[in-house]
Amino acid sequence: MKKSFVCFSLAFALFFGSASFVLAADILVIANKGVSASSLSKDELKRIYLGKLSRWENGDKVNFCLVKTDLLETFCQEYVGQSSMNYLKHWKKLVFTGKGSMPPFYDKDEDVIQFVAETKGAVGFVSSGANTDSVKVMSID
Amino acid sequence: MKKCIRFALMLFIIFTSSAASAVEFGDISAGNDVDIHGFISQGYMKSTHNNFFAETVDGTSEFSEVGFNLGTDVSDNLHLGIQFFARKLGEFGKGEIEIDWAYGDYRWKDWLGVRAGKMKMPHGLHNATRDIDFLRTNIFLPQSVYNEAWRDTVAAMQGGELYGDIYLGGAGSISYQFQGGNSEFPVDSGVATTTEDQTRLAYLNFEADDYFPDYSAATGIVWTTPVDGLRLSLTGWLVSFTLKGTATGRLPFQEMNGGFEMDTRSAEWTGSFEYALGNLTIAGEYSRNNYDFRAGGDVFDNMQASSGQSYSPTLNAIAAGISHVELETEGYYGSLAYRFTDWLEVGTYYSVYYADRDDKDGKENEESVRKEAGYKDHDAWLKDLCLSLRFDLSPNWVLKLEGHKMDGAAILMKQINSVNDILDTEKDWYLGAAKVTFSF
Repeated sequence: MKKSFVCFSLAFALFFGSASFVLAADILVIANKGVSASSLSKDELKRIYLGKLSRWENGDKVNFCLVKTDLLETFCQEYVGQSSMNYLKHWKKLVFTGKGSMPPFYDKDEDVIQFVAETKGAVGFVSSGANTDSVKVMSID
Repeated sequence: MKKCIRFALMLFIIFTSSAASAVEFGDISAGNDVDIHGFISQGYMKSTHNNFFAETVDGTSEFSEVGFNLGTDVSDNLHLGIQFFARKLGEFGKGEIEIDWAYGDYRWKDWLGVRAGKMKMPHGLHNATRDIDFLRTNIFLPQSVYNEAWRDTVAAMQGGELYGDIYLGGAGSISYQFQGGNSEFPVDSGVATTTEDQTRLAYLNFEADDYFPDYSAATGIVWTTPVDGLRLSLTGWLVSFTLKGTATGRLPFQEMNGGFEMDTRSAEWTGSFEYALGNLTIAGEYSRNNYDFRAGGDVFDNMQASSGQSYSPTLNAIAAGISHVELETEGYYGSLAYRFTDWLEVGTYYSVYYADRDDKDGKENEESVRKEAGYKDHDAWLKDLCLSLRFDLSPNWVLKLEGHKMDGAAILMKQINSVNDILDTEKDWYLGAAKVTFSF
């Protein structure tokens, strides 16, 4: 009985699952070097990525981007509190009601780093092994 | 009408061919001055016994939507956007292109912004996106809260809006919207059709040919709680308008004809919750809508002269030149949706609607006038058990299959459910629907 259950669970997971093995510790949150803050609370990061926090304390616009890798699911679960599917749906709702523009999406860490380095007030996230010399690594409280 | 649909499709293809590859969801949109997005949906419906807003008993593909929008950031604070939209749902919409929304949005602070133009009205969890099939699990939203017949009236309003998001620290955040203006809709909209249906109970065949918006106001308050995925909202609207046209009498008053007008005021509120826990989403909404109808017009002078006698209390009131009807509808539903994988989501809901919350069991339909018009007790409610399958075939293509087990016939359009002018609905019936959507 137990074997059948395990086999069924494995088959179910293989058929339906899209397992992501990225841990939160594998994610670095980065910012443009012009951003005065060196840390963000989890709540601030969540509000930024939901489009609810659009200004830094000095009044500069907050820009942010996403990366289309396995990091996305972990980032959404860990820092935005929802699945990546629901997160994308959130932005599509804003776009199709005129309340927002879709944030830029990149395929790899290098592109995210380039966007953050070149965009005033920008925030992004990359894998922990990425070369972050041109940006600032933020600590998340 | 076909020309308009063709024109919409042509525009759609032109825009998609040049923009889709560059501005697909999931790809880079940075660097584009103008964002372009759009969608096109085509559905099919088939029902047993009762016609659901279209000739569904015979099966119909009169069920389509197309829309595309343009948006641009003029400055860090100012965003401009417009969405064009066309739809066809049996009785409603002719596939003609209309401006769905178009407004300027000045976000002064996160907690205070101003919008001016034509904006989507807040109502429940889904009104602003009700026409956009790929943003939800089901094909049809629960009719108890999102009555298709009222879609044109409450989809959007022209005017101004104050909005913002107030951060409450450990208590989450509150988003608010306050809108004022007026709603415009075509004279062949669902509300006009519903009004025409209602006047048949007063022995009149009313044909609306003009519409006068009075005022619209709407508000929405959403509390995003500190519990991840849980949000609560309270929304409401106040809408007032007049439909004018001509009316001719039905038996036994067939010799009457003349001008007819109906003033309608609707005051609605909806309480909602939604809880997204991983791949599971649970939601529920409760809604009440208070209607105030006042009829007038010179057709009543003729009616009084030709009838010459009391026929029913309702008719007496009409013959006196003023008909005043006030009623309150009630609707609620609970829903579950679970995403099994990137390509499969399954959803279900149970929705209950009462056309008059003071007559939930339909006893008033036993009265002579209504009974003679064919009304039965089950025309007072609609209870809908729905099961939906959503297949995300690719990031751009969605296919949905859906079945409904219905009990009752409230909300349904009377004209397409009548035989020889007598309403002829069945209590228990089924509705099936399939829909495919492309979006970018």
